[in-house]
Amino acid sequence: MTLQASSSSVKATTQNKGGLASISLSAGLMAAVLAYPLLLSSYQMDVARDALIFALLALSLDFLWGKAGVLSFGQAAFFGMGAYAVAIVGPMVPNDNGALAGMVTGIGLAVLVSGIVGYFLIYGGVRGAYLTIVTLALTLIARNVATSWASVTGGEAGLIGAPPPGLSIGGWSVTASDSVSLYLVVAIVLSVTLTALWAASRGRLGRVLTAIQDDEAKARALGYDTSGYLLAVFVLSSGLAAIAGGLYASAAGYVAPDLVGLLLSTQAIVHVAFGGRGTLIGPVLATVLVIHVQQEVSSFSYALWPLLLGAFFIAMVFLFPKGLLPLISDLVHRLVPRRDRGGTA
Amino acid sequence: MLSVDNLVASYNAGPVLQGVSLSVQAGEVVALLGRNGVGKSTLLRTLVGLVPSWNGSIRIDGTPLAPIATHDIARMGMALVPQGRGIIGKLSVADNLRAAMRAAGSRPALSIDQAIAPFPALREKLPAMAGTLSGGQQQQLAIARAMVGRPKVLLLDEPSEGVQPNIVQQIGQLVRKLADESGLAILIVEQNLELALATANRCIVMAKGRIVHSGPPDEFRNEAVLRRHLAL
Repeated sequence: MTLQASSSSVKATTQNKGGLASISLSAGLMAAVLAYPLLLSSYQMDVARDALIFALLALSLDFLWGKAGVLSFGQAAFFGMGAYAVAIVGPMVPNDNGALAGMVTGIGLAVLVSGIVGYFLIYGGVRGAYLTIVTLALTLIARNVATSWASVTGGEAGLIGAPPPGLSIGGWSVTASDSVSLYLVVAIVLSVTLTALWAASRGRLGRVLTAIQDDEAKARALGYDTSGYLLAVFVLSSGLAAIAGGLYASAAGYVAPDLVGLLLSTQAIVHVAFGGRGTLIGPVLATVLVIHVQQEVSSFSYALWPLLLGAFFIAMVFLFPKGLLPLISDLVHRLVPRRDRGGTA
Repeated sequence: MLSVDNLVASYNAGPVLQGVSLSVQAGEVVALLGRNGVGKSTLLRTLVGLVPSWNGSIRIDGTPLAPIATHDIARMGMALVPQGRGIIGKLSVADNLRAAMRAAGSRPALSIDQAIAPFPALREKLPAMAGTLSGGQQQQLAIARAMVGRPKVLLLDEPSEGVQPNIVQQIGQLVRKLADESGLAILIVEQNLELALATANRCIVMAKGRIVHSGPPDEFRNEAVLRRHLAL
């Protein structure tokens, strides 16, 4: 009995150590990924900045799909709301607060739409594929609004003149208009969001979401208003997608309806699946990696990229269906003998 | 403590429960017997609101539950240990217990130490993933987890399923002890007749969505009675 108890406490300590090691490894990797583009040319830095914005979009989806089990094609719609709000509202606001005002409007709109749609669907008991299909419809509608409501959205041509991120209080003001500061703004927003979602997932919220993914009825019988939790995650995820969209418009200076399409939602899903659903940092790293490879491949053949991506995705489903990060962690566990990790054999 | 009157419920097609009435007092263990498919599990799921009821009433301490959502019923003190245990395999044993604290509602929840006090085998498994436990340990965890929220009524759906015989006996003794010491009202659905008769104060028999007989456990030790009610 005593022996068993002590071996289990050793195991617990080892797990804690293992956890700490993988946390520091992830944090280090993330810091390296974020810092590296600062050494590059301003064009490459802009590409890296856009990659981080799409990583934020993937992260917003991973919180919803990976942690709460709700697959959504609606991320592009909320991304679009953020982007268009900055491009439409931003120029109306004086001083350097345009982007911020647009961003707040976009987040508000995304929260309102996802709150209303989500409330009726989730409390109405819609789950699984049916819920996914409705989110797909959301993106189709958003795309239609972006192209058809030309007097406001600029139609097919889109809008230019979205203001860069800035803040103005009294006489003091600051704007991020050069490549380095734009990159830093995006990198900071992404890091803060990643850390916050990671911290939230480790506590009670994470436990409840795991229980809901395991079996929602069970979680309800434990006293949790599971619909309330799912709705909160859906709304939060939509708000984050709107932030990503707002940052994109603000950094690029324009929006176009291409942004709001199903392609963007699908890309986010591919990035999450590739990085490892539910790992949060996995989809972020995967997005950066995929966009980097896309740049390289497209530089010598534009047509090759979609073919490669499709082939790669099919191969991935067969070879490492759980995604990149779980694959790496499995490999590390296999290659490094257990005793070297301090485990009890 | 728990009183059910003329309860009618169904999944979709045709009512499964066709007017169930029963009561379980504080400190009493009632065994619900019946052949497969008569609606025993459906009754337990209806009591916690997972299956909608169309008619009749369910009360805890006189408070009606009917239009209340499952999570509120749980917080009012009705705990279900579902068939197949219902532990969350991807959470650690300790996190499974922590996850159940919400069910306490406004009552103070049991601490993890208090919850596993009757189950010494679980203490050293606290950091382990619940999915890696043996069948018996998972069942013990499921019962410990149900107790975390200090329920007034405990519903057990086939606690002996897939559990080795000596653990079944332990579970039986524990169920009896919980009723005697905490004044819990316990409704237990059990195929293992030995376990049911050893723990229950009273047995009720269900057939075709209704309660058709009620009697002391000793009555069911008679072969003729068993054949008549359970076709065994």
